[in-house]
Amino acid sequence: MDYKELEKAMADLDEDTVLDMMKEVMNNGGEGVQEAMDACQKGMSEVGDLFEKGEYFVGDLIFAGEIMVEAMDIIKPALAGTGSKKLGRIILCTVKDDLHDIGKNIVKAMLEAGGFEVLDLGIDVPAEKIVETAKNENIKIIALSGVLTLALDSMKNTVQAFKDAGMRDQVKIIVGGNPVSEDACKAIGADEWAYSPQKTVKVCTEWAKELGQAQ
Amino acid sequence: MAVVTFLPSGKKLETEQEITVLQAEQLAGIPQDAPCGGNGKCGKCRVLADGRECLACRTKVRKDMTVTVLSEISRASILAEGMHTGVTVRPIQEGACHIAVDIGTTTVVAYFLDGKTGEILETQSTLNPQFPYGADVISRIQAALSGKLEELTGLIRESVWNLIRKLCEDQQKSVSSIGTVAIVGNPAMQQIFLGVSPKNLAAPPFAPVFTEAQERPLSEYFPVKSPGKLAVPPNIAGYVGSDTLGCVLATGMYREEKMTLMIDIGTNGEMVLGNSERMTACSTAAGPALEGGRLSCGMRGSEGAIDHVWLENGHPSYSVIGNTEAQGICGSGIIDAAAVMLDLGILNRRGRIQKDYSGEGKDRRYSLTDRVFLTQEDIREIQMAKGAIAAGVVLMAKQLGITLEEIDQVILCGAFGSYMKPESACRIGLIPPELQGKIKAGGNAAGMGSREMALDSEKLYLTDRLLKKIQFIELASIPEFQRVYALHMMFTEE
Repeated sequence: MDYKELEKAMADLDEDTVLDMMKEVMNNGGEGVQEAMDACQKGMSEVGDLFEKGEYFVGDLIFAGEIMVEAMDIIKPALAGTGSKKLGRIILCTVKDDLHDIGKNIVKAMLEAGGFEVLDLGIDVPAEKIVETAKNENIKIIALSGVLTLALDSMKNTVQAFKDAGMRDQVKIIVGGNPVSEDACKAIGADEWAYSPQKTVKVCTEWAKELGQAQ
Repeated sequence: MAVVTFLPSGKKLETEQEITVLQAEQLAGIPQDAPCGGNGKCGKCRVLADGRECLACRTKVRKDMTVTVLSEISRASILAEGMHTGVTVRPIQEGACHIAVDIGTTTVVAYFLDGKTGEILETQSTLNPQFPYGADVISRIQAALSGKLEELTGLIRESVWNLIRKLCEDQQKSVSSIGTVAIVGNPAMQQIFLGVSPKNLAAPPFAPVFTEAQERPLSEYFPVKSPGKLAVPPNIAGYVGSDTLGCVLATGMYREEKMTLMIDIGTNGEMVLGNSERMTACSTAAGPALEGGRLSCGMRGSEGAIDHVWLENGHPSYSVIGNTEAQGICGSGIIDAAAVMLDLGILNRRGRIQKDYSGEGKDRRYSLTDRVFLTQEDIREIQMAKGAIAAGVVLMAKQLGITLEEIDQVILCGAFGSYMKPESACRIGLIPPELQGKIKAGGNAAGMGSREMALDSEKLYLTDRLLKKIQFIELASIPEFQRVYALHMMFTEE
C-alpha cells in the first residue's frame, strides 16, 4: 500500500480514497495497520497546518475529523493491542451551560490523530464531574472547550473545583474556544489557552512528555 | 414639483423633471426588479400608483403620487394576498385604529392599520435603540442579565411608543383611540420589551417563557389612558419567536396542502417547513454575514451599496443602489459576488480564493472595484452562514421524512429575501439547488403576521394551535448535524 498516497488523501480530505484504503488494510488481514494509522495522523497534521495558513477553514477541519473517525472505526479491530495511543490519556469536554460540540469534536479528532487517548465527557459538563473523572481515572491533562461567553465562568469554576479538591497542582488545564483569550486564560487560572486545534495538540503533547506519560 | 411617496418604506422623493416611476424608484434607492431594463416587456416592475396597478417603467410622474412598491413587499404572490385581499377586522379590542409592531434586533417597524378596513395606512421604522448594548441577541441578553434589563426595556418601549405617536400624529388619530397593538419579535426582544428577564435564554435548555397567546392592558406598557390592549403572541422555542409565528401566519403555509419552506433570514436564520398537517421549525446561527454585517466592505442595503453582481462577457459587472459610486456591498450583492467568483473559478470547492487576488494567507482579497472587495475571511463568514441554513433545510426535510424535491415552494422572508437573486443563492448552496425555480420573496412577513394578530383575535389565538402543530428541532442535538453542516459549508465547482 502507498502510505504517501493515503497521507495525501487525508490531507486533501479525499474521503473515498481514505476509506477505500482503510478497507484494503482490513481485507489484507490488518497488515500495515500501524503504518496506515501513522499516515492518517500525518495527513491530519497537514490539515492542521493548512488551517493555520488560511488554506483550510473550520468546515474543512470538521470534515477532516469526520473522515478520521470513520477511518479509525474501520481499522479499530486491527489496531487493538498495537499501542498506538502513545501519549496517554486526556479529558476533553465542553463546560457547563454550553452545548456546543463542533469545536470540541474537531479537537478530539486532532488529539486522537496526535496519539492521545481522549476521554470525551461530552457537553454541558459540570465541574464536579470533571474533577471526579480526573481523580478516578488518574488523568492529568484536562482540556476545556466552550463557545459562549458564559463558558468562561464555567471554566473558572472548573479550575476552582480542582483547587477545592486539592488537585490543582496535579493537573494541567488548557482552555479553548471562541471567547478564550490570553486575559481570559489568566482570569480563569488555566495553565494554557488555545486558538487552534493544532496549538492544543502541541501543548498537550509537551505536557504528556513533561508528565512522563508519553511512551 | 411633484412628490412621490413610496410604500411601504415611507420614502419620499421630490422631482422637478418628468421621469418615470421606475426612474423615481431608482433615484430613491428602491431596488426595483426590472429585468428588461424598463422597456415595458417583462412586467416585473408592476406597482400600485395611487392604488391603480401599472408598470413603473411605463408610468410618468406628473403630480404628487403614492407608489406601493410590490417588489419590495411581494415578488411573492402570497404576501400580496395577505396585503390586499379581504382581512377580517375582529380584534381583541376595537378602536379607531390598530398598530402592528415587529421588534427586530436591528430594526423596529410599526404599521398603522385602519380600524375598519385593516388596511396599512402608514409604516414607520427605526433602528433598535438597544444597539449600543451589542449588535446581536446574545449581547443584549448578557446586558440584560448584568443589571441593565430596566434600561433596555425602557429604551425599546420608548422607541415603539415614539413610532406609534408619529403614526397617530400623521394619521390624525388620538393615541387613546388605538384598539389593539400586536407585538412580535424574537423571544429575547419580546421578553425585554415586556420587562421579563431573559435568563431562560442564557443557559440550556433555553425554554421559552411565553407559551400561549395573551392580551394585556396597553396602559401597563405605554403612557396612555384607554381600554387599548396589547396582543402578545407566544414563542415556538427559546430562539424561535413570535416573529416566526407571524411569518407562518402571513405566508399562509399553515392552511395549505403543499409543502412550504419558510426562511426568515436575519442575524439568526429561523426556518419552518411543512403544511396544514405538520410543521417543523429550527433556528440556525447564520450570523450577520448575509446582511452584510461583519464583512470587510459589508453594509446595509442603502445608497452606495453594491446590490447585484453578474457576469457580462465573462467579466463581473455590478449595480449600485442609488446609481452612485460603490461604497460597500450588501447581502444580495455578497451572494451574487460569491456565485460569480465560483463561476470564474476564483473560489475552489473549499472556498479558498485561488486566483486573481492580492494579499496573502487569510488576507487574500478579490476586488470588485477600487474600494469594494471580498477577503478570504469574508468568504469564510459566508460559508458558515450558508452552511448553517442549508444544513437546517436538509435536516428539517429529513425530520418530516420528505425529499428536497417534495418541497413545493420556498418563501424567503425579510428584506434580504426580497432583494436576493434566487439563482445566486442556489449557486452558492445557501438554498439547496434542488429548490431553484421554487423560490419566492415574502417581504416582511413577520410584520404582516403581526398585522393579522392585531386585527383578528382568532389569528392571535390560532398561534396557540399552531404551536402544538410545529415541532421544534434543536439542530445541534442531531448527531448528523456536524457532518451535514461541514458538507454544506463547501461549494460545488462548475
